[in-house]
Amino acid sequence: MKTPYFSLEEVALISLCGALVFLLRVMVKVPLHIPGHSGIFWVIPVMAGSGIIRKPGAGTCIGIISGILVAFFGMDTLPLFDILKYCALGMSIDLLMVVFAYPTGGVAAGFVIGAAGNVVKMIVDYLVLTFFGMPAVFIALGIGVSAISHIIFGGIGGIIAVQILSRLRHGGLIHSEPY
Amino acid sequence: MDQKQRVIIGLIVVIAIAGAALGIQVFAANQVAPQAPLEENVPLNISVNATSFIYGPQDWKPGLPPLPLVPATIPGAGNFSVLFVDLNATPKGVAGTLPVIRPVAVDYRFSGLSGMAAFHVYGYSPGAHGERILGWTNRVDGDGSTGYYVTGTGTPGGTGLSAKTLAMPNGSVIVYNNPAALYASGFKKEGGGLNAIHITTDPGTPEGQVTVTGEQAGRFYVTATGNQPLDSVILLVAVNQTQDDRFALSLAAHPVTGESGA
Repeated sequence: MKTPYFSLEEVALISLCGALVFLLRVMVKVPLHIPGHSGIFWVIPVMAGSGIIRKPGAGTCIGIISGILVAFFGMDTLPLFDILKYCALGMSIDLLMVVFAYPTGGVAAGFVIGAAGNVVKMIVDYLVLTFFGMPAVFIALGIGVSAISHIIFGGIGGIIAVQILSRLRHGGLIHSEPY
Repeated sequence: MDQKQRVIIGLIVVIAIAGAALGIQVFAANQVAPQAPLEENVPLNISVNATSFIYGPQDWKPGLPPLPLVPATIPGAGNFSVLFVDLNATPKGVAGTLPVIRPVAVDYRFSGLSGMAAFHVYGYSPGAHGERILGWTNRVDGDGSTGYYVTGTGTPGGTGLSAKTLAMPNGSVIVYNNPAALYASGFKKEGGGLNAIHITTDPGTPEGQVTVTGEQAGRFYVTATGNQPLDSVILLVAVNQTQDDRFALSLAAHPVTGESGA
């Protein structure tokens, strides 16, 4: 019998991480009013789950599950397209975790992965808004500041995520080559 | 390629993305000329038809969170098609500490209206690049709710209206009589912006009320009860049935003096 790509434990972890992204979206409200500030929280479960499972596709699945949950509960203004945003976040983090060989330490790698994931989500968000009629010039008027804040907050989330993975590795809960 | 080289390349890419985005923002800011408001001395006098409703179908209007188009006391209204019109006039609220209610009168005339039409208002102020930021609207439900609803007896249209979904909550809207300008929903605080602008049938009652009428022609007033620096107001017009070719709505608006207040 063909072995499933993800084991039962890995599927459970993917589901939990996807649900955690949704919970953080719902329950953690930080009134900073800075675009992308909530990326700190969303990036952590995706990177942590991807880093624990250490298989391509884990981050993407986490993104899809969180997108489905957010869409199902109608959290945003264009619910069905939330799946695209969170899937993009998951896919980009998935890809970069492979490129950086699933880092379990190292601030810089975590920053780059988290920042890139948050920025990709921002870009997909703006593309969806443009598709639905928002004039592109209106998006362009704020995209610079928005991109910088998405990078900063996504990067901070990435740093936290690799620190979590580092602690897990030191605790023997995950096995990996140290960075 | 070792990990250090990947990190350096990754950081360079991230910095390049940030730089490109800033460059786009600066370029866009230089391209958007300051947008002068419609000349206030020219009273509004327009007519719209069934194809003018470009948004919907939806049962909400822009706000944070989105607000219903009809109050709970009018059940079963369903979805609406929506359009926006710039009234090209500003209701005044206070001057210093003195209340000075100078409403904007809106005269409407329907022909061939099918179903229900809803009128709501938005106040806007200028943004940093000349865009118009919608920050105030009339409350629809609960204490202080206002609105003007007209029921018609016309024949529904046979074909569906083409419409596009309004992007929310900070999306932009296209205004019928000023399509080139940028109007954007700018509600920042949840539940905010609902107590300063109203619709009333009596200028002596600036806080307004909810009015449901079968009169196909009439007048209502848009009032401001605060000292917010409104640039102007736009009117949201919504109909809950497809209108046929006989449908027409004429709108005229002008500031009113001497009808109320100091």
